[in-house]
This record gives sequence, C-alpha cells and structure tokens, in this order.
Amino acid sequence: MKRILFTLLIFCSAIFAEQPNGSNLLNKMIKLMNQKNVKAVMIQTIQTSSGDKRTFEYDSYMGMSGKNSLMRYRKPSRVKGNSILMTDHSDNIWMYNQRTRRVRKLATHAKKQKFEGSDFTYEDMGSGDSWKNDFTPKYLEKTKVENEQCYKIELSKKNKDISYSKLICYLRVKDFFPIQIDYYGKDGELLKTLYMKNIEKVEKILTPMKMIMKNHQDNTQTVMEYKSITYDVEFNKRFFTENNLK
Amino acid sequence: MKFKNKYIKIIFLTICIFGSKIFASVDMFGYFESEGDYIMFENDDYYFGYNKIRLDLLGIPGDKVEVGANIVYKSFNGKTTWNLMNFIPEKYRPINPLSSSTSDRMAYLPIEMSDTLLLDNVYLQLEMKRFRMILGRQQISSGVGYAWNPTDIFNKKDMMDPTYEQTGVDAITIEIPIGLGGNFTGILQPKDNWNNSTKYLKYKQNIGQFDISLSYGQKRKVFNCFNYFDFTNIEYNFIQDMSGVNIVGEFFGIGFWSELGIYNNNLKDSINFFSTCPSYFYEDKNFNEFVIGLDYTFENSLYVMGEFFHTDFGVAIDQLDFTYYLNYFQSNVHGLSQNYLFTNVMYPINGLITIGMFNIANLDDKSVVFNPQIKYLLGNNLEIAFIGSIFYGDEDSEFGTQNYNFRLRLKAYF
Repeated sequence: MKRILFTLLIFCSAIFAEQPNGSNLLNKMIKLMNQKNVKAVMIQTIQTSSGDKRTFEYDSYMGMSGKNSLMRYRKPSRVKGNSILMTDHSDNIWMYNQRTRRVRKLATHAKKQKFEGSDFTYEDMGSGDSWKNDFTPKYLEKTKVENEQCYKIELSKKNKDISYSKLICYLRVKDFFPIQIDYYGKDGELLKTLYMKNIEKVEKILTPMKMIMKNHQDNTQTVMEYKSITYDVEFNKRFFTENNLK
Repeated sequence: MKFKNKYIKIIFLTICIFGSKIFASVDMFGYFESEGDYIMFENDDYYFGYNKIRLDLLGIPGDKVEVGANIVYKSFNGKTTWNLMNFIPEKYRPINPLSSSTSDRMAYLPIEMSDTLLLDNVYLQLEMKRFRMILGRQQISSGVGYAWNPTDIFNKKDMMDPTYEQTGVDAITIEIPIGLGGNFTGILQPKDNWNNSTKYLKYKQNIGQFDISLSYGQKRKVFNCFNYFDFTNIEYNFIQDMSGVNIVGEFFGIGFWSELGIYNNNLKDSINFFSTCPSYFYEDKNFNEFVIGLDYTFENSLYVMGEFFHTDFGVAIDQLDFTYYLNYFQSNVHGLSQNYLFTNVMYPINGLITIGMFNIANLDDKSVVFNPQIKYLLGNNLEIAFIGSIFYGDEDSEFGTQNYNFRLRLKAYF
C-alpha cells in the first residue's frame, strides 16, 4: 500500500511539474526579453505593400528592463539627429527635432501612432516588462512552430489603455524564448505578427538579431536588425531625461 | 558695456583652437527645397516661388564638444515685389493727406523678396558635468503651443507654416539639469549694451504626466506707428517684460497644453504728435496672451487637434486701423484680432502618404482659411507636399482679402 501511495505521489508531482503555468511562462519570457540595460545600433527597414523599402539606422538605449528608452536617428538625412525619449513604459514620450531644436511632449494617445511609419507603434517599442500588469496570461497548449516545440500562451488585455485585445505568444520549450507573437485587435482580428529570428547568445544572453513585424491588415512589414548590441552598459540617473534628447 | 564683438571673438578663437580636430571629422548633410505658389486675390493671379539649399556642418571633436553651422542660400523667382496694400482691406488703408477726396487712399507699400546667402546657425556646444552651454547663433524655441507661442520672445512664427525651422539667434544659452525632472535654462542675446540685450530665464519641471515651466524674459521691443502727415513709418522701441507659464500633459487620455505670457511695456519714448499708434502704446497695463490646446489620436491613427489663442495685443474689429496691420505684418504682435482658433486633422493613408487639413479662424471677424494638404514621402530622403488655401470671409476681414492659394513644396535631403 505504501509503495502504491508513494508511486502515485511521484506520478502526481511529475504531472503538476510538467503542467506549464501561464504566469510563470510570461515571467520567464519577460525576463529573457527585457535585460536591465541595453545599448545597440539598430537598422530598421520598412517595406510597403508595393515593395518600396525605407531604411533607418538609430542608436538605441534601454534602461530599467525596458521601462525607459531613448532612440537617436543616424540615418537617413531626413531624420538625422532626431530623437525620441520614452519613460514609464512609453506613458511619457518626448520627441526632439534636430533642425528646429524643439522638444515636444506627446500625450499617451500618441502611443498608438506608428513609429516613423513602421509597423511598430510607440507602444510596441516601449512596452518593456509592463505586460505583467497590462495582460492576464493563460497557458493554452504545446505546439510546433517552425519545427520548434513551443508553449502557446494567451495574454488577455486587462489595462484599458492597451491597443490590443490579446496577444498569442509562442515560447520555445527548450529555453522559453519567444519566437512568434500574434497581436489581435478589438474585434478579435489578427493585426500583426512579430517573428524573432537569428536567436544568438550575446554576452551569454539570448538575443533575436532580427525581428520582423508583419502587418496583416496593411500587407506591410518592418524588419529590425541589430548592427551592434551590448548589455554591459550602465546609464547615469539623468540619462533618460529630456535634457539628454539634444 | 560693449561686449558683442568680444563675445564673437571668443567663439571664433574657440573654434580655431578646436579647428584642426573639428574639420578632421566634420559631418555634412542638409536639404534642397523648392517651392512654387500660385495665389489669387482681387481677380489677379500671381506665381512666386523659391529654391533653397541648406548645408549643415557638424563637428564633434570630443565627447563634450560639438560645433555646428548651417549655410543657407535662398533664391526667389516669379513675383518678387509685393504691394502690402493688396493684403489690407481698402477701408483700413491710409488716406492721402494731399488729396481732397477721402477715397484717395494710399495704394502702394512695396516689399521686396531678395536672394539671400546667410550663415543661419554657427554655434559651439559644450557638455560639462553639471550644465550644457551653447555659444553662437543657434535655434531657440520655447513654448508648448503649436501655432502660437506667447512665451517665445525670440522668434516670429508663421501660423500658416508653424513647424518650419526658425532662423538662428545670436545668444549664449546655459541649460542646467536639476534633480531628475527639472531643468533650468538661461539665455542671453547680447546687443550693444546690457539694457538692450534680451534676457530669458526658464525653469521646467516634469511632474507625473505633466511638464510645467515658469519663464521670465526681457527684451527691447520695436513697435511701429504711422505718421499720417507724411506717410512714414516710425519705429518706437522700449523695454518689454514677459512672465510666462507653460503646461503640457493630458487629461483622461486627451493631450492638453497651455501657454500664458503676461507682457508689460515700459514705453519711455515720447510719441510724435502726428503719429498714430496702436492702443497698446498708450495703455499702462499688462497684456495677456494665452494658448489652450487639445489633441487626440484615434485607434485608426486619425489625429485631431485644436488650439485656441487669445491676445490682448489684438484689437476689436471696430477699432482696427492701419497701424495694427503694420505691426502685425512685421510680426511685432502675434495677432491682428484678439481670438483665433487653429484646428488640424491628419490621417496617414499608409507609411508614405498623409492627408490632412488645417484651418485658421479669426473668431472676431468670422473669417477663416481652410488648408487641405497631402504629403507624400518618395523614399528615404525625398518628400513632396501640396497645400491648398481657401480663404473665406468678408472683404474687410483678415482672411477675406484673398481668394485662394496653392503651394507645392519639394524637399530632398542629403
């Protein structure tokens, strides 16, 4: 009898240990995706439905696990020197125009605007680790995406200011790294899909060297690639302030 | 105290000292801009336009030093001489003093658009541990308003093109960050002596989702009066003080901004007996100007905004005369009348094409100009904008003197 009970206990604990939990998976994903500090040079290519391409290059700085970010354009000449500061998960946005030396503070509704006409919105760029507060996670199933065994989790909106009704994330079973995120609109329609490609270890941290955001509504896509990246960086306390935009 | 020459010498010497390093790594960029305008008023139509090239030079000889300059060449074509009287309703044009008829009014007041080559900005920026200093001719922009900035004492903003870059100001600027969200700015625009120099102080603080700033400025201001006896324009200048408050943030998800400037004129000059001046010359009181603006972006990226502007320097329509137009056209004041409304709607059709319409209404004389526009991005560095202007109002009103205007602007960045 004791042996049967012991076997049952082992069996049950194994079942519960195997059963993924949406909240745990979200936490693991956020931890992997939002390192404390990041300094990078990024190349962003926007492809329109007609196949036209526009390319931007900018310096990107992220601090406090994605809570604050600063971007300063290098190319093209049209936007060279312009910069964008987002603090508190893009609740505060300041834009600086280099030619007019003018700083403009945007209200939170501007989060819904496209980032330089790309398929990323300011909200997408500055969300950081705020998903824990903005969404309720739920584990759905194990599934295969691009020959990778993945956990599929659903994040349902709980913060009314968020533009998306839900997100579906696919996390690799082997390391919990997300390789695909589907963004759904208010009426449940699939708006966009973010694909994480070329996942490499940079300074021992898993990094998607290429991210592709496909817009299913407009039939456009935006590719973001790291030209260089380091996590070994510290920012002083005034780095993410308006004064540093210029 | 004459220090302007000394000040220029210091900048020149500093640039020379850093010169060899600067020019080793100078970055050159800029744009070419071409604009053509077709305008129709009083049953006559005219074409005018310009070609402009701006070359930006930027040198960063060290972590803490930046040297920049902009060279601008602008050439005008088409109609380059304008009669200012065409833009002033006939009843406000001065009556010829030598004529026996009261209908014989002044008919010609020319302004000439001439080609220009200028060093628009030339500055040295030093980043110190506790402050940033900018010396030289530089862009200065203050205020949170979109079409009007009551607290901006340096620039003359064109409400038909409010986001266009301003010309540089010869100044010394110091910016000192205070705490995490605070910033102090001090600007001195040196003139021939301390009294005539423009001084500006501002403290800005971020509090939650609001940026709040307090400012004070003093400048030698020029106003124009008109001598009806010999038809000449007389300039009077005096010290003007400005105290200002700016707030920008949001309420219930709707963007909100407000800007208040309180002006005090310290007129010392005695006014020529034959001069006729605007009423703000004579009244010993504070003149208030303020802006209140709201904006919102809908889920589908449709952007709407509205900005109300009031100025005590404007005048009720029954008191309007030629001198108010004179000061308004010379941008000595921000408004001809007292109350204006600017509205703007923009919608990005895709990443390349944006359509919209901005409108400016004079709420006092009930005239308005509607400006539908389309902007097209032809690749990374080429943009084309088409802006139409349709004027509506009585023939004596601010926007009723013209019929319509079409503007095509091409801008190529390099």
